[in-house]
Amino acid sequence: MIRLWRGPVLSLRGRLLIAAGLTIALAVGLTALSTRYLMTQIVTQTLDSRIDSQILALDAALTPQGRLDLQRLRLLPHFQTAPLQWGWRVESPEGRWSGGANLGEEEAAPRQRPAWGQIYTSQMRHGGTVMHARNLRKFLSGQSGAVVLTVAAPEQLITEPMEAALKPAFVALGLMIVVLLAVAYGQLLYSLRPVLDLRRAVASVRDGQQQEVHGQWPRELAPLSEELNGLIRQNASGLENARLHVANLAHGLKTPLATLTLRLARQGADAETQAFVADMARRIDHHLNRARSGAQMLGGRASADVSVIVGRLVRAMQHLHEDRALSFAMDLGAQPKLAVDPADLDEMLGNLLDNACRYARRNVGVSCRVEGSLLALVVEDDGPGIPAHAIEQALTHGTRLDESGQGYGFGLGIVRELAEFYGGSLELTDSLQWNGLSAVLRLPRREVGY
Amino acid sequence: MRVLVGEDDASLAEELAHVLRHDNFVVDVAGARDDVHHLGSTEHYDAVVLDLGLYGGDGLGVLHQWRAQGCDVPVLVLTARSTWSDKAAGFEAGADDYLTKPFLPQEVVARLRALIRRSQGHASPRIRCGDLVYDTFSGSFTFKGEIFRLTAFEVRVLAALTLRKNQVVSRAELAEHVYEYDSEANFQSMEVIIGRIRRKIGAHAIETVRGLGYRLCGPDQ
Repeated sequence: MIRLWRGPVLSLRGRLLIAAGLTIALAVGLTALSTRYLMTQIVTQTLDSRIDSQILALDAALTPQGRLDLQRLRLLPHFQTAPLQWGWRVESPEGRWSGGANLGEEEAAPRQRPAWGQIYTSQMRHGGTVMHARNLRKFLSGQSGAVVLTVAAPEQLITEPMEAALKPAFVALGLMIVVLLAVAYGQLLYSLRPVLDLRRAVASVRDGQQQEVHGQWPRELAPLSEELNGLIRQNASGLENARLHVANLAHGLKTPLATLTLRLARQGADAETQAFVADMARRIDHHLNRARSGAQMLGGRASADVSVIVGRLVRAMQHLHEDRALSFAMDLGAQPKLAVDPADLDEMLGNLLDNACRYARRNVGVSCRVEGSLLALVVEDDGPGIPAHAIEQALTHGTRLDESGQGYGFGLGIVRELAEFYGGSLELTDSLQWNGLSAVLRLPRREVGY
Repeated sequence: MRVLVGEDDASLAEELAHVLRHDNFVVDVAGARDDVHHLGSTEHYDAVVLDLGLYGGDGLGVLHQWRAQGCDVPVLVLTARSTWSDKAAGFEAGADDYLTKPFLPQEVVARLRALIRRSQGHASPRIRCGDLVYDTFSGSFTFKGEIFRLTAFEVRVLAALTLRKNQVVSRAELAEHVYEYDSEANFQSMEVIIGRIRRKIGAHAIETVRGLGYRLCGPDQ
């Protein structure tokens, strides 16, 4: 395909506007040209018929010998009413007669010699005045020579009425262009509306608000909508298969490992062997978490409701740490949403809350604040906190500061890695409210309207 | 304490049952979804250890069904699914605790004991009944401040009576807490066990309620 435009790809709206503009300009231009031609023809023919009647009057005043009978000429009605700016001339072997305005010279000889007895048009110029002339060449029978009768009127008699008529006509055509362009733009918006609706429907699927592209589509877009829904179903099925595969892999790897752990404990295995099994479990967890994150990232742009996720995670923490009788304080404001996969937010907040619950004396708090395009989620506790020099170590994959509890030391590292994937961050500081640890998780906010 | 283990992997189920029996639990094992659902719905268990991947279906579905039927047996979910989304979904389905594979044997035993204790309305891990103290964390008894030596059957009976202290526990219910599902319940041997415990802690500590069962009596302090 030949590309006429080498710049950035034009939008559909731009293409349609340009096409409509060119079509309207061409149509109006042709209308203007044809109008001008027709009007010129009409005005010229009207003038010609008047001039021709003068020529016929001159011809009637000509004697068979080629002399002009002036007495007879005066009696002819047309010459009595002839305008003053007009002029006439008779050239004959018998003499030359003229009257009225000076005709000047013929601008250019006609390309083809007109037939005898036929009136033809020519242009004459006298000084700055252009004259529209009509001529009759007449052969004198029985005489040697020909007579040329010429009557001319100023060219202005054609151009002035033309200007007077065309000016308002062209203004009207200009207005018509504006009106047609406005109508074309309105038509374009109306025609493109289903395309914009389809775009919004696809965006709502990517945001997780809809499962499929819903709506009534024009016949041209209906197949596209079906194709999109097919792709969405295919993608969802692939994502589900990937997640199922990861879950099966987890089951397949960790169940025999659990059996091995129990058997080793029953047989009184030494600490080194048990540590080896724990290391295997840690490696499996690490790779499964990476595979799980990869499967989740296939889902594209997502939306996570912070209040819902914090609520269900806090309920889970209340079960998991039931014996500790912790007090949870939540201050999340008005239903914030994040541009993050809900499963990833579960993972990040779950790890932070679980850490806070493990080390808190009595209180765990979750709050949030808006920081530009990011939402800062703050998980605080009143536990011992982490010394400033050990914070970077705590955020490193596989490193644990406290070897007494459960887990394999991947929690905070995973949180930081996931947060950075979404363009956010994880910061550990002292809690000003409770003197414990404050984990600040910054993640991109979902724009209002999505 | 009677526990149902719902686990599809026979090796793990066997090891887990071994660990729990060693700690004086009465253990029934099932690996198929329908068997687990049937046993949990029809038998009386103090707790259920439930794997989420069972033969023939998802363990979460079984948990949903139990809760919908009004079955409030404490459930410890034991699974390879370790994401926080999975854990939150487990608790939303009605789980009481969640443990991911692999796990240490003492971890699952301690979690089960805590679950059972809380389900019987005891906030403290030590349940006192006069001079008798039951440490639910270790599963051991002390009497008058001394370690109380008991056989496995005696521990099972006394633990069942202590968790329901001052309540009448029927012989059938006690038998369920002593013998496993496919064993023959023997009421005569139950009387023998009760007699042995009475000789150790006093004849009036365990009261016989004629026609109904037995009751362990004693003050909290």
